[in-house]
Amino acid sequence: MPKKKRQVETIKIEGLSSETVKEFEPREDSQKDDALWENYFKGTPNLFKLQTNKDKLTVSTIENIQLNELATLVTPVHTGVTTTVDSLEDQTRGKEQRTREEYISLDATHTAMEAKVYSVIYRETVVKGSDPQHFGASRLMSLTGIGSDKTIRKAIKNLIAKKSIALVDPYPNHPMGAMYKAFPPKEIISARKRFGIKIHPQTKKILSHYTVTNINTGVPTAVNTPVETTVDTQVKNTAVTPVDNTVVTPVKGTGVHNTTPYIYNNYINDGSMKKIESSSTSSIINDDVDDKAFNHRNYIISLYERYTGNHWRIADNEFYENKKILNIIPDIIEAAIIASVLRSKAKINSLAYCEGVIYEFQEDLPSGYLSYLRAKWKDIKERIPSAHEDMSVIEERYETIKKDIRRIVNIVRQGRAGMDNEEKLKDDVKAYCEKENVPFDEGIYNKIVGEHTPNR
Amino acid sequence: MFKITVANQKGGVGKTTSVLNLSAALAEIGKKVLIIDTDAQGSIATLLNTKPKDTLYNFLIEGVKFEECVVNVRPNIYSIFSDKKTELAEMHLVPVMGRERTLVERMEGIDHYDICFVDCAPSLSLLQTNAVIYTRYLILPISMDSLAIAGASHVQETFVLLKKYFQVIPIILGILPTFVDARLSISDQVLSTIHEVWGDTNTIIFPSIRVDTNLAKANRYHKTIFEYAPQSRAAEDYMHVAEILIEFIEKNKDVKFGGDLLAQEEKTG
Repeated sequence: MPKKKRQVETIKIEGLSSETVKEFEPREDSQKDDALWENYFKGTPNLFKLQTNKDKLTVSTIENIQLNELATLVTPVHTGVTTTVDSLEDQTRGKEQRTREEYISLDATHTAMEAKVYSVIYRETVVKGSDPQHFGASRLMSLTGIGSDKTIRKAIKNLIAKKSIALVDPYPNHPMGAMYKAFPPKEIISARKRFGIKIHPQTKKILSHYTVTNINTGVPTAVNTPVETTVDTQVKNTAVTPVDNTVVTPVKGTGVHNTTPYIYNNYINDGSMKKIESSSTSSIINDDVDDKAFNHRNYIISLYERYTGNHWRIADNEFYENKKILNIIPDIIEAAIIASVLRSKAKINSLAYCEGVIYEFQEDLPSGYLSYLRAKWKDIKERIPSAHEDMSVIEERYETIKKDIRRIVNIVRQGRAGMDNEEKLKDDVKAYCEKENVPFDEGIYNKIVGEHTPNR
Repeated sequence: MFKITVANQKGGVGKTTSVLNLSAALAEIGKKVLIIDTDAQGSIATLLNTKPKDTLYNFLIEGVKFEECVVNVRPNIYSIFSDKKTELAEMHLVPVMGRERTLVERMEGIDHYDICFVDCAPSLSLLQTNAVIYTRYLILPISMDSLAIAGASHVQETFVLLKKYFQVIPIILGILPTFVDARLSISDQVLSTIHEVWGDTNTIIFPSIRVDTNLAKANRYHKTIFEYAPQSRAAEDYMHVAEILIEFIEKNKDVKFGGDLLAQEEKTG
């Protein structure tokens, strides 16, 4: 007789059944869901988040703007041609789709921080009826959740340069900060076209040349100049001009630059960029890039060896490769190497030591700072020539002196058998050193004598 | 890169242990795995006895580069850890527009791993929503406890909300029964419930992870089960799960979702 299967009691949970879970199972016919998922969560601001009253207003305002735009497109003239008219629902869906597409294309041109600042300013201005609003650094910090006012300022500067927002009035002494206005995506895109602004899809930096000088971010900065130069430099025309705008000028490692660019020349509109940036192990780089990379590397090697006195080692090469130093302009690296040399108490032994400073200067290299660093380094080098002497040379010299003194101590001791007096011995060694032109070093002498008399 | 969130609103069901050991199993198979820990308890770092310099907080909020936050913890296993500051990340994210997709934004362009696991905290948090939106796929570990089933139902409620407000549908890829002790009737009851609820769906019911003290001991000595006791039954179970997961990923690489799923018998083990 077959064994009867034991009936097992199951646990009942409200809302959890085979029917409810079916909704979330993997499905073959999920192309539509997939498309939606791709649309919503691939670089587009979330238009379908849980709506607050403010957000509802935002959405309705956007819709109103679009309806107005659509209204202007309606032609009253009867053409005689029958056209299929989409239902209102289809039109609304089409609008949503268009808005989403605009957001996608706009969002692709902003960095994460810029997107946050833009979305906050846009939300606040649209909610308040498209009127410009005051935004101080602290208010933006609290609204965006960004913890650094420097990041906020940088984002604002870039957003203004990218025509995403505009500084309506700087209001230097206004307690609530400067007044900004954010534009809707459509206007931004057309404004960028008008000004010929092109933005790199990966780095989000402005690629094309357009002359905008002295962008006033309106956010007052508490720090006037990061460094006060005490060195009177003879150079009247500084090699680096102030970084007041985000204009990118191609620069080769010539040492003389008109502006401080953000992107190294090699990769501007260069198809090879993707190859290099997408994979650290990429080996398919065309010859042209190879040449440029080689020049860049040579220039960096010369800078590194000049300022540190070190030889370029395998570890430095690895650092150069792994950290993609090739993408960084030589000015930044030069400034970072000098700053690291000046800041460090001990001698720098590798390029990796400069990593933090490189990133620091990538964020912001104050105007004229490189000239200041060069002058400072030159000044120190002239005053203390041995300050940057290679450690290996010093160590070698120390060992030679030590060897000579040890030899002299032994000779003197041999001639003084049975009458070892410490003071006398020292005087004799000193005299012998003088005679043999060996520099007497008291520290070395004490060490040698100490080795010979362990019981003392 | 195939991305999977491992979540359950109930704590102690073996989420972190499963993430770590599944990653170890996949790494042994030769897959490159990324673990993102979104739990402020920082359990992954504790289990691996690591004190990371930059954590998920620095990555999400301070904008520290991915390369600086990710740590190569074992061969083929990389991780972004969490610590107490992760709680602050949620606070910082609250006023941000589009906060639910912060992780998506930050992880944009990072796809040089084969599989990415996102380990979640046992709570209905913003980071969990971020994780689900980033990965879309979810594995639900269910321990042999009625509360674990309730926890799974809470996850599903989150999904209903996601569907309602975002109009997108996350996918429960699989159910992973953990702490299964065949001697206990509660194990029978929970397993029967799992089969009753998910048995008729395409959701995979993975082979059960049998109760094994080696898992606790491996955690105690900061090792994966494959390092501590490679012959143990837990190691065997996790390897079996990893193989099924790989098979699923390989089969559905082109179809993206759904498709020729594994037979029920294979799933239940």
